[in-house]
Amino acid sequence: MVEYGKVDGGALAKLESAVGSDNISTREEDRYCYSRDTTLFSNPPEAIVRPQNTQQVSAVLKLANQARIPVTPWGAGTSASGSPVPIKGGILLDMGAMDEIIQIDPDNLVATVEPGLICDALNEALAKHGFFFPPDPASSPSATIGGMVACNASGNRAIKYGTTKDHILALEVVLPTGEVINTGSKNLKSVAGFDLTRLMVGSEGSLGVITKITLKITPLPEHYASALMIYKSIDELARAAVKVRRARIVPSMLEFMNTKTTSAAFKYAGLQGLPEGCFLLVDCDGARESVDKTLDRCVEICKTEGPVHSERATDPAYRDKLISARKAALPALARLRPTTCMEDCTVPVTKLSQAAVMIERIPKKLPVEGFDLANFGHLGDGNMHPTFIFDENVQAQREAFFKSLDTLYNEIVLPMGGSITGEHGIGLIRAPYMEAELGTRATRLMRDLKKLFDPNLILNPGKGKGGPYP
Amino acid sequence: MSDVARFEKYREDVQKCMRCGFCRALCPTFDFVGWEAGSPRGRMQMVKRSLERGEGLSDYALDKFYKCATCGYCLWRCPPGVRTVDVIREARSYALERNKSPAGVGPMIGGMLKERNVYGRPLQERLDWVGFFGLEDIAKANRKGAEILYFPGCLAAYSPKAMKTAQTTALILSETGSDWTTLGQEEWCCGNPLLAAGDSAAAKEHAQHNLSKIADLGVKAVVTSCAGCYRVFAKEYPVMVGELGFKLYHTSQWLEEALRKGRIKFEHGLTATVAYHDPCELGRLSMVFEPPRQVLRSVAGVTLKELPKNRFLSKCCGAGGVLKITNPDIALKLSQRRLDEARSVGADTLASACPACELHLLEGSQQGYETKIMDITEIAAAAMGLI
Repeated sequence: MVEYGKVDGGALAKLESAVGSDNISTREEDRYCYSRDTTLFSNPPEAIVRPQNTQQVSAVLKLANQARIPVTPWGAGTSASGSPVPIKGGILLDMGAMDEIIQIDPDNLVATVEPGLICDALNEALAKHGFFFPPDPASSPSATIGGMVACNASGNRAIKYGTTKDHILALEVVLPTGEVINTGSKNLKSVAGFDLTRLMVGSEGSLGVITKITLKITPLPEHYASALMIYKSIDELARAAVKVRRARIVPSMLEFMNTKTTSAAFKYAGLQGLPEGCFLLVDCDGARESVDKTLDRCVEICKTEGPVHSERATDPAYRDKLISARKAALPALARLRPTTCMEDCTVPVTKLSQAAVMIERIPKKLPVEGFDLANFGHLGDGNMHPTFIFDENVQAQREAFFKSLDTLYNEIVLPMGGSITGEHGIGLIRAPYMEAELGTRATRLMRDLKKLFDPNLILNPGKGKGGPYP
Repeated sequence: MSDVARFEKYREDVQKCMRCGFCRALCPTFDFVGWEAGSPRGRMQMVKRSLERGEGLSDYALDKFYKCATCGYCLWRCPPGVRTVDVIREARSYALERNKSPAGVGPMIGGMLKERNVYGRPLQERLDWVGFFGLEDIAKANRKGAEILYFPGCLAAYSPKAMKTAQTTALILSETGSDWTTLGQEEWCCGNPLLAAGDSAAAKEHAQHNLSKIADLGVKAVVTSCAGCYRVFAKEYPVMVGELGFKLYHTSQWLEEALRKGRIKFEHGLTATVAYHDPCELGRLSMVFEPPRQVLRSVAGVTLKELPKNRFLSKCCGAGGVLKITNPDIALKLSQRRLDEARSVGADTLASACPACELHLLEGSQQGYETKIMDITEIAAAAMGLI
């Protein structure tokens, strides 16, 4: 077991001289507010620090490293993995104050930003130049770019545009020792050295604290169009999606919701008069002529699986409403029960139907009153979000949730050749399953890599990535 | 009441907060606080902590509950539907009972209870606007049997800078031949500032008084030019007292209907690039978005621009939630942020539909802005050739 230092009076005095007393809090209320993300895990930090610049981050890490105090980077606390929960106490680094857009350079197709910038705010600024940052998590109104990079977030558009890692060119990172390094290059092409940028993206704050991000920006498409299909079963829906792929079509979104989620989301979004069933949204973007032609072809293909409802959303406002309904999956489910825990897994698209059916059976295997499940996700990349709906304050339901995770990951996802996380990260919740996916040797190598970067294991300790260290 | 018993009715709300943070990013005051406790999500978490521990809210926590404009962005944005604004008002009520409200809140409530207006100015001055503009012949108070009651609210009645809203509304009503009256000195503040300050009992007293006096007159409709009064009449009075018993209009709705039915005509043009600021109480909290825009679009020569943050996403100008009293520095910055938005879309005029917004934006504009601040009734009256 690693012995960690405490944020005692001496450490606090040093922190104060590093960042100023206004940027530190040890108040009970603040510690409580920063103790949890969207998962069930919680633990208060001993102190919260809000650095204003890279130098302050460096100073904090240097003194934390010397005193072996755990440091947990925190973007907006919207993670669905437990990654920003300061499970070992110590210092929580709230990066929210570093939220500037340093530069938007459309001529070179790049932008440089600070990590605390909110995803939607970045896209609002880029839109003025006719560009966007494609990764599109449903949490884009609150997710920070730093958090997205740390978790390699993605979302609805990943099928066409890839995930965050595909858009990050260069990073400024403060190592746990306080040293500042720059990874990658602001040029679109560079193969100089190992790809430390890719290593950092998705490292969940376990290797360094990201303080500056240079990302690739993408021209906004000229035109968008969507089609909605509703099927009686997930089987028909998944077959339709495979057929679209087989036809060599890459839509910008291929999104699904099971019947329970569809009903809740339609109600939430105010969509009326549609039949009950499983929702499939096909969205295409690009040049107008090409979009319309591609979408027609998608609809034709999807109809071969006999949807109970099929329509093209020609009105942009209606398209927005359909996308909003899909994005409202989690909020809509959150209205059903006091607790919603959204899981994250991927399977080969060809096995999605089989996996989805098995996942829907999980609550039946653990018959606990008030414990239920819904499912939705990004069909285009086989990424599902089985979402458990229950009451965390009822012990039996809470236990059923954790038991369900074993079934989900060990009995369904991994045997099908899937991955235990597509876009939310390992954090705490999926840590018990990581080695089963990656194997012992690879896991050990990752732990060694962690130790190379962070010899005292102070950064985001106790989480799956790079730990837990014996 | 024990320290936490009052929050029991919100236990389910704070428990169902899924900590998604959607309330955080566009919360107008969070930017100026920064710490999580200063976000709507943080406030809900602090109440949850109180309930878990059976402890009251600390002074530190209460300070955060007052760094809020009660603009309702969090309420609208919250996926599981947490009643954020109600929780915030409950916390303020808790503070008020323990004499822990920020300086300025107590005197405001004291003045309100004595003189029944938000300024604490003598009740007798409530009709000064009538004399100021020489409207004695048309603005006659307490006429039984009149069809319409005009309820200007405290700001348009008392503030010299906002009286023009009352004047132009009166002129428009008279121009259309409407049979209208006012409550005169019987008009009490609608109670909105009391609710925002956490004194719901006093607010209820005001509601009962106003509704009783309106019922005595037997009017068929009430028109108010204040977004706050409108929301309180529409949303709070029915809960606090009972059904209104008359049709309620905000001036923007009344003007839009009058235009549509041909009762008024805009025959005079106005050369202006106008951005419309949605007052929180009228827009997001009452869902009245289009009537004011329709009025502005109907004026020849007006180019209507949308602010980058409009309708549901509209940012509070800083006048809401007694923020001006509790945190004037944040309130001022919010008004300037709104003026910056107007500047960014090339508007020379920023129009609103609430005297509170108008006054506060006017205050912000004193800091080096050339933007003209107007209420939509002023613009309508100019288009009718009345001023």
